[in-house]
Amino acid sequence: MRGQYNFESDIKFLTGKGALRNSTVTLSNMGCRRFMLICDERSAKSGCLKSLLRRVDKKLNIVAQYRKVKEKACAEDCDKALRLYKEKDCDSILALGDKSAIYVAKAVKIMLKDGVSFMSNYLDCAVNNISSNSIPLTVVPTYLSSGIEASNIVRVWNEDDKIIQLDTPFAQTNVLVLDPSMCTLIGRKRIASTGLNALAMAISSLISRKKVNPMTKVYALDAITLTTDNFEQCLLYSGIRKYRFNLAFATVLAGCAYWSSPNDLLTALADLICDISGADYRDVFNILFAKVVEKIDFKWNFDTYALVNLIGNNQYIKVQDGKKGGEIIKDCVNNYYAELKKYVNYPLKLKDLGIDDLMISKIYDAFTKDGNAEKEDLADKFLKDE
Amino acid sequence: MRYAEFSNGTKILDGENVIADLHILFSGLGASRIMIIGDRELMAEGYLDKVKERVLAGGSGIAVGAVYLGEDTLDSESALKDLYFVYMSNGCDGIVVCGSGKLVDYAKLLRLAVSTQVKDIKKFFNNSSIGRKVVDVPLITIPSKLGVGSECNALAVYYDSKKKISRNIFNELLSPDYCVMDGNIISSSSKSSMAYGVLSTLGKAIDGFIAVHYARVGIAIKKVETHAVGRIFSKVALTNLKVKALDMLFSDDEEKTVGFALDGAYLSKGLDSNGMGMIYSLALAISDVKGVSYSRCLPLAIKASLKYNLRVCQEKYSEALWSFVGWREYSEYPQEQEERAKGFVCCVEEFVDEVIDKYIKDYHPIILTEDDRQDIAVNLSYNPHMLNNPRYFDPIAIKAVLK
Repeated sequence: MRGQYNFESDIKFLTGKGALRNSTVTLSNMGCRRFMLICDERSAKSGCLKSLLRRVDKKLNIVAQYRKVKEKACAEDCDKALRLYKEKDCDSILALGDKSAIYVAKAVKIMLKDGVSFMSNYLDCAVNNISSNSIPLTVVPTYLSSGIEASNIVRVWNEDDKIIQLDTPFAQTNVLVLDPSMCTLIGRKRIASTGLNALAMAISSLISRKKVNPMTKVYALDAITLTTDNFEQCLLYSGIRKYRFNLAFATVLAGCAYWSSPNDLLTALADLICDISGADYRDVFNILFAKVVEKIDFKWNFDTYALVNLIGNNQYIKVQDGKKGGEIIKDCVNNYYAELKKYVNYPLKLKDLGIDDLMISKIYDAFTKDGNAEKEDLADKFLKDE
Repeated sequence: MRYAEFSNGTKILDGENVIADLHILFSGLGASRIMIIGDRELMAEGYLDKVKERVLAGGSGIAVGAVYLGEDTLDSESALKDLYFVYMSNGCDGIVVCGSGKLVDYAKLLRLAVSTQVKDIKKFFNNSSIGRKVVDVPLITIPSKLGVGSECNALAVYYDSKKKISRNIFNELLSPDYCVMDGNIISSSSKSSMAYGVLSTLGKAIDGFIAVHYARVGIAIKKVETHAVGRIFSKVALTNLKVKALDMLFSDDEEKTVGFALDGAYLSKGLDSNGMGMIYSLALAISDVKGVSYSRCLPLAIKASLKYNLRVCQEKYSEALWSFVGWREYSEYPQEQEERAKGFVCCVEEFVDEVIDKYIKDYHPIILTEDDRQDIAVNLSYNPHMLNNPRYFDPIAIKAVLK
């Protein structure tokens, strides 16, 4: 049967105005007494950290702070944060920031569970699957979130530039706090890439070839509804916090949907492109997703009519008799992309991200080096015409 | 940006031979002496022995403290007294319950009583008495029928025999740790029981789709829509429900039955108590007044509440029509919202009649007298979930739709 049980309940969402203040009660009920805060440099500088501390510091006992996580999560950060956790005798972790801070926090959680002192040890050995010892992990995403907080993936860079990637249910977030005060101002391009990324993750999870449970569908549909209702307004009135919050919430939900049944090959290809080119993950994923919609002719084993029924009265769906379900979904996504073009220029090809032919051939070779036919097929479809 | 919390800790497991890992689940949850709760039917089928075997398997050191055979019809107070006595006297520290409806509710209430060390469950009638967890009591539920619902939510029904009213208790501690969906046991139940399960899921989905809750808007307290996540659970359950249910009832396919049961379980998990509305409350009230099972009251409750809410729920009913009949049939309806809302009511009524005609052979319509209707209206006023209904409580209108 199912191999791993982590004996932790599903993610608890605390969202909306006052979520940070209210989270103190929930966290106290969970038995969290001594927190370690892990935060990335960008969030620390932007004022998110100050804002968080102002709201929770008197009620949450934050005894240690590690604020030096860079844009790329490094194994060194994980080791240092772990040492600090042990020195200060903490009992729970609070992660604030974007992707890298969340990766480091998840890595610390796994290392503590396994009794491992150095992240590099995971280069040679796997995560222990039988422990039921867990440390409560609370995540407070900043900006517009990346959806990674809902995943079970940890991806950190070792000193020798090797990537340590773990995919384990023990890396699960326990409490997710999404407070409007953390959705700080960002540029329109970033809003566009985040919103499109939410849409891409949500639709990818709905058309996934893997067996998805109704929970996944719920998160995906919710994400689509929130995105369609708020994306344009968020681009037009990026100063209004309400729209930014709703878009961030959509991304979180889309992340929950996507990471419960991730498209492994697509994720691996996007990761590889980002690693080699240094491009933003969201942009790369959006480009690949647009190609999925364009090139895959929906012959997968899902019922596209059911999908149209499920997505429902979406303003971008134009139901026309005689059209197949797959065509309607394609039209819907294309309409969406076309509508967005009115407001912002977003990258449509990998070349727009500064990835040249040499890099593409390098990516192609690296991706297909193990001779996997499925990978080769995907690389042919996605990289050849670039 | 309104503050909202969403969580339900119950994990749902399904798959082939799904009960095989019961011992792993219990050892992970920290239990060592398990109380098995089931009914005589399951005992006779040998299912409880299988459960016992899996709890003891693997030499994990887990023992079975007691096996309790209960009945769905027991009075809540005496059933709980029995259960509490058996649990404590045998030194148990974990519960697994196989069964349906009330039996699962009793197991959940037992967990609440033991973990808070509050023996008198009536103290939880008042929602403000939250109860502090003193002892950890792992609980695993194995529903034996389709559409039970209580196997993965934080709600339990307690029958108050003095007032002759079913009281709802909502508490986070009532939420089980794991819900194990065993296809073998669910698909072995009778066709009529499965058909009632379909109606139960339909009722919950409609309730959840239109549910509202009270919130402060300016200086006034108004009814506002519930958290978006909750509504989408209903939307997912309603989508293709008609096709899936009829297909499942017709085909006898275990996989389809489990698929439908899973949809229902996730719906309960997602809605928890916030999605329970008029259909649930009305069926419970009719069941109390007429002394018949909750499932038997569902057809009447569904039809009556659809009519009762039609005027205030036109927009939502129109939206629900898309999910219920599919976009192709939906596009054939007139554009007006009112017509689409009426179309939804008609479709649901037709579906309910079809399920009854084809699959519930011994169904006798419930006849209500004037006194019954009066009693039902009084009974409804006690049910806190009536507050989730979008239309304000109007006893005269309720009596009228029950005619």
